Amino acid sequence: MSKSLTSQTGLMSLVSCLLGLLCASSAHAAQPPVSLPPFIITGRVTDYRGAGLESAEVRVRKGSTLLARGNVGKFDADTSANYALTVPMSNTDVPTAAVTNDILTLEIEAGADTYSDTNVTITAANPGRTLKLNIRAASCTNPYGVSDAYLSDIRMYVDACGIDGFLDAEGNYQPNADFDGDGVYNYAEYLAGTDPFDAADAGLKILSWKAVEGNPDVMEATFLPAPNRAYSAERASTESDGTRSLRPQFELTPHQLTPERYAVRKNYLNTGNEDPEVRAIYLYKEGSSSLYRLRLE
Amino acid sequence: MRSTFTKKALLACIACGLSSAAVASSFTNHAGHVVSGQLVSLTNGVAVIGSRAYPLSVFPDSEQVRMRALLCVPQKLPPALEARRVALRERLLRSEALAKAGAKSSESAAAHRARLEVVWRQMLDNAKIDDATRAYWRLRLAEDASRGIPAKKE
Repeated sequence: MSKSLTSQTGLMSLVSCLLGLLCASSAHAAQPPVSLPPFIITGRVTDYRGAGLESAEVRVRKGSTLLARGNVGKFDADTSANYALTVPMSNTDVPTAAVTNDILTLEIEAGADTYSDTNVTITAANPGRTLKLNIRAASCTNPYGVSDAYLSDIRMYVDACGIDGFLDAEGNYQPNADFDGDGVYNYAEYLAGTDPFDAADAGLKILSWKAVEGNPDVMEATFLPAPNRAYSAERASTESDGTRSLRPQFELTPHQLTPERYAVRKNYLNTGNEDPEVRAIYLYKEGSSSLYRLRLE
Repeated sequence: MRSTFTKKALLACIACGLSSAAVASSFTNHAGHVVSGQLVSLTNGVAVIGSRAYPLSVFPDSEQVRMRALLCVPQKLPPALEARRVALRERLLRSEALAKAGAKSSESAAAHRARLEVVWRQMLDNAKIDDATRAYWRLRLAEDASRGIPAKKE
């Protein structure tokens, strides 16, 4: 009798154990979705020339579901980015949010064009992380990576002005040549928005460099920016023995837009669609000797 | 006196057959009749072909704005050509900004401008646009069309 009871008890405990396992399993599947810190995607959407688009919409999709959208434009914050998307994240798979390692698609719509051939597939990172992603939203049918319109204009300019040497014997664009001899090769001029036929218009050339009157710790650098670009200044120190390295290590250094001692210092200078104008930035002298240069973001 | 003049001008416009030109603009004469013609300039809001045209500066400010807007309408460039003009204009203004900053000589800037204007005229000549639009833009490479109303006074 007691044996039988024991046996029954054993059977009951086995059943209850199985039920427990089933309950645990169903409790795991029904785990409620929890909103986690968002995954941020930010960067610059540019045309082939590197100029930021003036109006466009950037979207992030998971499958066909839209997770986030944002407009391309100028930000008030000190950043070189012209778009930022906040992708909602979740701990479990829900249609309205991404889970770490989800495959997301970035889509750009500019005017009447949706750049499907430049769509970018990205993997959702951990919640709270930021991904910097610069994208060129353009298309070209030439092998040089410049816009077709630019190439067509260049050819027309060469023909109309009877310029020899810019195109090769077969009439091809030469991206690695420096036609005007300003030290900046043709493709770099294209990216910088400078004129490849004008030696005075040379990439990121600093036009003047002088100490500010009455404030010798601040240097004024002038240059001619191109439209819809983001620039920053970089500095490299000399070696401890005062010599200059053959390969100096440049790092981002903040600049001011006015020469006053306590003016706001920022990292990026963003240009809009205004007419070309020589701009000045102000840099604090640091150390006994430094090298400075401009960087196009 | 002016009324008679403008009526003659409009009649001349029709007689010359200019209404069949590429620009199909409609104007209303003083009698309230709608006529078509090629807009070359505006005199007190009425189309004039050739002969006398008054500078916009002789009109009151409010009237100038209206007339500039009217003058802008038929001279709009096709988007692809406008994009080319903007690219050339950018090169022109960069060259002039560099000259202003002393980074290049004014002679060099002038030569550069001349070359860009040659290219611009060639682009206009190759474009499928009407003669009035071509004539309007021939000397307006540096115009800032993006802001709607031309900055230069006629």
